[in-house]
Amino acid sequence: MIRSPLRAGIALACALSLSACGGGDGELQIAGTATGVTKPGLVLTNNGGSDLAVDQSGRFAFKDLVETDERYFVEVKSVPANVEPGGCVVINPTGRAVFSVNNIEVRCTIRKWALGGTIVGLGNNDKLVLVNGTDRVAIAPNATTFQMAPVSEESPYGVSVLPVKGGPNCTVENGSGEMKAANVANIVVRCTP
Amino acid sequence: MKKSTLALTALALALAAGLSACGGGSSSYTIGGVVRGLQYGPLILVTNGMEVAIQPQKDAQGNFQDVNYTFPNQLEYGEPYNVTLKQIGTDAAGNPIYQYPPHQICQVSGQPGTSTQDTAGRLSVINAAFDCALVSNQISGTVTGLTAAGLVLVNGSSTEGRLEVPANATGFIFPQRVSYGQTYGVTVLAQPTGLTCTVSNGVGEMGDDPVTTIAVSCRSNT
Repeated sequence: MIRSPLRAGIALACALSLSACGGGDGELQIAGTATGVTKPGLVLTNNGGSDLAVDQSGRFAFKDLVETDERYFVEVKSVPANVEPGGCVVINPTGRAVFSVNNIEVRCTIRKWALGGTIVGLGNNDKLVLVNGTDRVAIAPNATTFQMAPVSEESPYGVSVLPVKGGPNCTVENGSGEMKAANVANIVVRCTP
Repeated sequence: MKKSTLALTALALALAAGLSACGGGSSSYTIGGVVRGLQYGPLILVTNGMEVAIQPQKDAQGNFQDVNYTFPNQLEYGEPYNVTLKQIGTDAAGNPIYQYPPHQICQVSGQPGTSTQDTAGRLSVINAAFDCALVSNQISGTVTGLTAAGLVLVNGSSTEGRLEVPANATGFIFPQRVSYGQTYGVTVLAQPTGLTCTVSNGVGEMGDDPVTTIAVSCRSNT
């Protein structure tokens, strides 16, 4: 009989003390690091709100501070213009704030496009090797087209012929450029037997 | 009474077992360890007058895997050891010159340097671990006739980087390194104002030494 009001009193005290600890102080920051962001367009949310635009790689922090023990949940609302939808992932997106949160990672993967073109006059030479930096592609005899490894949007490319003993004498047209938002297929490798 | 006797016996047994585990067994120690990242052999390690030549190993998929090695003779408890790369001389300043495996640089795991020293028996298992990585070098060269600004060179897409070469420069060097065996290919991404530049010796495969022979030659368009 006497215990039940007591219990209620304790519960009330607990609730009060909890609210004193965490209620309304909102002093903890939700922050992290973004990578792969080279263009505006990335917008992050916390618990579905507090929209935060992140325009470049590096540290980000939500302007709205959260309360102690408050649940946070960071999601991607929109991605940069050069990233496919779903191309930004959040590592450690959620938890309860005890200290300021710094371990959220947002990793965006820039969209890639095909890099290739045509080959003229190769004949049955089997020693044509094309390179784009460290990317190396051996070309089969009598090939009339080629494909290098895909290249990230806005990255430069420069296709040239690796000198190989006994290799064909070839020149490259349109071999250098910057990857736009489209496949490149206009490179011409012109060989003389 | 009976209970306590049993307990005592068990305790004595446990102690005996524990003692033999601690020191009662072998007091000889095999020196060995793991080598990570080895792609070309041999890596020659030496200690206490012994030498071991370690060759790279591949798994079933053809990928290089970690290689475990041991020296032929064991050490006694308390004997010091110092596993190092084989020394093949000293430089002008008296520092040792080590024999690295071909096309690679190796060092003790987790610390700079080429030797790991300790005393046999301090650790129950001696693991003198080494990490190896391919040699990597910069690519560079000369520029002639560059009288205007605007020249941008790239090494394919590999570095994501563009190298802007200022007017009147006579040379260039890419900050990013290229690993042994990888290709490089320098091309002109943007021509300088009023000039056309061409690259010779711009394509190749990285060897053991830096590439310095790329030549960019620029001429007026008029």
